[in-house]
Amino acid sequence: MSGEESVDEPVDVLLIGLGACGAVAAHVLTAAGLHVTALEAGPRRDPGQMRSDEIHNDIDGWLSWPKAIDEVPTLRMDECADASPTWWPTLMVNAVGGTAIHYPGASFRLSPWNFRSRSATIQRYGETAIPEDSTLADWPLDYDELEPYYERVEHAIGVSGADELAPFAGRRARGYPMPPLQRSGWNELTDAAARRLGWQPYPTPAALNSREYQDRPACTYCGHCSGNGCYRRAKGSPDVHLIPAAEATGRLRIVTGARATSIEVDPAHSSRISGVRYRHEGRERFAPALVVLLAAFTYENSRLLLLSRSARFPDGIGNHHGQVGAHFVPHVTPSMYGLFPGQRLNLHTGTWAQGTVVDDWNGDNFDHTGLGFLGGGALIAANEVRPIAASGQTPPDVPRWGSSWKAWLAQHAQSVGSAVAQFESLTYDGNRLDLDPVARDASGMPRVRITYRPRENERRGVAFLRTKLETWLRAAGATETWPNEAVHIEGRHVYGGTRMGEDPRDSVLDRFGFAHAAPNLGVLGGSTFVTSGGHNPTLTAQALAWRTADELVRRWSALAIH
Amino acid sequence: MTDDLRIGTLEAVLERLIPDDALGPGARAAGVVDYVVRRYAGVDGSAREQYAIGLAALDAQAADRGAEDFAGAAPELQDELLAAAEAAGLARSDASRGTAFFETVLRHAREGMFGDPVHGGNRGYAGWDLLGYPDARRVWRRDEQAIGAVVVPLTPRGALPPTTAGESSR
Repeated sequence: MSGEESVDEPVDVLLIGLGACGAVAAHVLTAAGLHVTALEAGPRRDPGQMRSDEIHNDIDGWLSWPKAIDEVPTLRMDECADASPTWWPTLMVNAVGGTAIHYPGASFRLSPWNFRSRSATIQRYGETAIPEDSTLADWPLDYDELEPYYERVEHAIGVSGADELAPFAGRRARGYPMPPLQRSGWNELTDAAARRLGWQPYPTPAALNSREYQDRPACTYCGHCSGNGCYRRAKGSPDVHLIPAAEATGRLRIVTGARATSIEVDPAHSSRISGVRYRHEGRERFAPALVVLLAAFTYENSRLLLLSRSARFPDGIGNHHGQVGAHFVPHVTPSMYGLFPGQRLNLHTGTWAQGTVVDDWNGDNFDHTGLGFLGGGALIAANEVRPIAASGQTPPDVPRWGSSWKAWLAQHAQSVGSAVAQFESLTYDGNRLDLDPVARDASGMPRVRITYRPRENERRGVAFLRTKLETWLRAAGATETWPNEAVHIEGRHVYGGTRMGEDPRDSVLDRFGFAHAAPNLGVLGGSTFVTSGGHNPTLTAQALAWRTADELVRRWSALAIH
Repeated sequence: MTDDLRIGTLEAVLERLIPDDALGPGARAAGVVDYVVRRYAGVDGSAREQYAIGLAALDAQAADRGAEDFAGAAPELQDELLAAAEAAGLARSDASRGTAFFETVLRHAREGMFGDPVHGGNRGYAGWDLLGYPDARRVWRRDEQAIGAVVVPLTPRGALPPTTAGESSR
């Protein structure tokens, strides 16, 4: 420790990152009487800053760019290649409220099958159905164990939905606190088409207020929801509800502009964490804590553990078995466009979370015999297409510029609908996160390096889901369909790196999210997921965070050795 | 530094990507040239080097084909050279396609044509009118979200204001 380092007052729980999951933990822990300090790398944001401006939000990425320039991971699709800057979308936000400020709020539960997909696959299709190099595993908890936490999060942040319409869903003790969002014409058209196909569509459950909820107003469907915060606090992002509630207890201290650089081990107790080093306003500081919860984004969670080297943990905390960074997987998300000639779809209105969802091709809700892949994904037809984006939705046989492009746009720009699938990709040996040996961020710390190569399972699954998307769009009236070839790896839906499990040899965290190697260190977020699931992840990450915080309160007297 | 920017070439390129025609104004009149110069290609632009290199290459290719430069080439030759640049970009790998010069210019042209006019492009709402997009507003009612619903823009449309796009960017 350098002589210039300042040491903070000790605190009960130190949170690294105050986003979707850190905010849940802060809410639960402060309510239980614990004193929490949150180190947040970004600033505070305010609903008054949110503008309906595609260039400001999507092109300039004013919310996500500050994090991107400092942290964006590098990527290689081949284990032997050099990595280059990631070209997938990896938009993340450094701010009080984190990336959840600008997510559109889709708030799905995983299905019971997702938690035991390995054993269920073996039972139904045999061991050989699982690719040899896949590290597919069951979760160390089942759906029923997480169900009460899903419920708590849904009611805390406010989720609008129609539980009675969702097929294949697990048991639930209570319905959603609000009815579904307003249904757009596109939602109704795609809902009717899915029913004609014999599928079972339902409205996207969303952390957006369909009516006034608690002290927050209803959504007004402005069309600038994803990539932007809500101008009127109708989105259940943590900055407008969970964090203010935790601050109101007087037990949450937030340090903005605080960049954690390493998690420190107690020299007197080699399996105990003593606190966190961080940089703040140009100074090195040390924040001692009885318990540390690491709640950054998936990439950053692995990076910080790998950067936290000591005599006890020479390869990073919890990495004795090379498990930190392992089992990394992004969602693979094929999408299709459809042309609906003469129909003005008005997709520039509303929010992405205003969607029609089909789960008939998700998980093991259909027979996979002979298909050559496992799992599937939710199909979603959503609103919120802004004008610059709309100008790029041309079929492959139409010029992308010039007078014939203008003519096509004039005739058809309002008549293009699309649907996307959240394909549940598998984890594999070799697909992982580690520290880039060359690339460093602006502060001189190594960037995260992604090594990811989709395999045959993903190729077949994507092709299968594309045919379902096409079938759906055609049933809704599309006369022509074409795939969006541009990007179908979703770098914002990323999982693993700090997997939960029973066995320290193939996981980093125990079944409650605490490190096998250091029980007073917990990790929150998508990095803890064992599998990706076939739905948007945030609600599950938040339910897990609530469960970890609950367990922390229960274990408190044992964990907090004063 | 301003001399580095081949403004005539840039104008000619953008005007071929978004031509002035029976469907409405082209890049120059719609403020797209101004937008691209100020944000990306000009002296304070974030992509000025890429523009300097890319535009110089187009001028050289036009000269190879007997024209004085790109702006002086016949529209058919201009389109041919742009199509070749497009094909070169599309032939790249997924990882680097988006950074190809043609893809960069097209992306910036679309921003300038279809982005919020507050940024200087989409002058007179030329881009939004082409798409049938009324305007950015805070509230969309259920009946306005129906298929076929047509809403009257809140922002006044009508004759384009006199353009100074070319002059102001020089």
